[in-house]
Amino acid sequence: MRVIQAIYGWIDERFDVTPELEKNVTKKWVPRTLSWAGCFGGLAFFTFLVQVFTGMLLLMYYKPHPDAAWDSVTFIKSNVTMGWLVQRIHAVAANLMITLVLMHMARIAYYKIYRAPRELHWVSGVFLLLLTTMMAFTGYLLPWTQLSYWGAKVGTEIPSAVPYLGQDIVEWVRRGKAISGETLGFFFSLHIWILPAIISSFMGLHFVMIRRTGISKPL
Amino acid sequence: MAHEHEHDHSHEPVSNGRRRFCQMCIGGAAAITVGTVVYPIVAFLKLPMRVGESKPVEIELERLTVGQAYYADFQGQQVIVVMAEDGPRVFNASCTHLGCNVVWDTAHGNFHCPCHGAVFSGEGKVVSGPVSTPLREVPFEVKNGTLIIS
Repeated sequence: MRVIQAIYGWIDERFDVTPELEKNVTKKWVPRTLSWAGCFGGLAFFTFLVQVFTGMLLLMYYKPHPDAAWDSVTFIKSNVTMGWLVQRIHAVAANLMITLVLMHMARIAYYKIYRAPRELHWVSGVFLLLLTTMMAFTGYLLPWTQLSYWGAKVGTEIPSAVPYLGQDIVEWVRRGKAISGETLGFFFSLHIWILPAIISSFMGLHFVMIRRTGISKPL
Repeated sequence: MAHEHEHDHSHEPVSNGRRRFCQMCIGGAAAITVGTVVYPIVAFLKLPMRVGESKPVEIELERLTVGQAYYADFQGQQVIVVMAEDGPRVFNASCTHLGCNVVWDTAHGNFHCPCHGAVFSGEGKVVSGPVSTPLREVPFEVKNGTLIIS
């Protein structure tokens, strides 16, 4: 304990951490009127972090190729120690994240927190909802099971309802006429790099905005 | 004021027992929480068990042609089976110079190392290149027309 204090003291002397820490964490009081429902946004962010870390672990073994994807996931579940747990957490926390995002939105909508000056918080939040569902959809294909294959087929069918361009969009998303190894590679790159990068920047915006305006306090 | 003085305990030694107990409970709960997160991660990073890694190599002699080589993986290392006139020979493919895998040159009947050009004869002896040690032979046995490396 004394060692930790000494190290903290050394850093604090140089970077003056304590006032910042007090201002933002230890002496930043939660408003008395705020209910537990105010946690949903933070919890959604927490599940995102869980997804990032379990995802990193799964990536050590996952192989994004139609011949190897299913085998590699089975390998994680049956041969890697605690692999079944990490894989399950990643799958369950995905559902949990969507649930929490929706609960967060429901509260904001019910208490009309989206009104001025917080309109852009809502707009960025809607983008975050869409990005979250895209993360879930692209991740669903990766284990390359029957369920994920047909799930991706039905899901990528949806843009075909767009007038004139529909079929082109479907083929663009599928990287061809049918779900194939190309689709798997595309969804993999979306799932592990492109979407996380976009979702992180939207989250950053979302958090900076709420720090600028402050949270809405019920009367 | 005199009445208040009777209940003044400020000069008695303070017992921190209850506070210490609470601190220990919080610390213990925190340690368990951290442990349940860290343990699966450390376990996950451990080298996983691979199925069939130390399987013996079995090759039917009928499949081997004189002057030709057969490559196989044995305990994570490449081995080369070469069929000579007087029977099969098995070598560890790892070059005795810096460990690249040598390849069998059917036309010349010798081993070539792709990294620094070492050449070994069909018996594994040094012919030329930056090496002084012959290729390592791998023990094997022949049972019922099958070559077994185990």
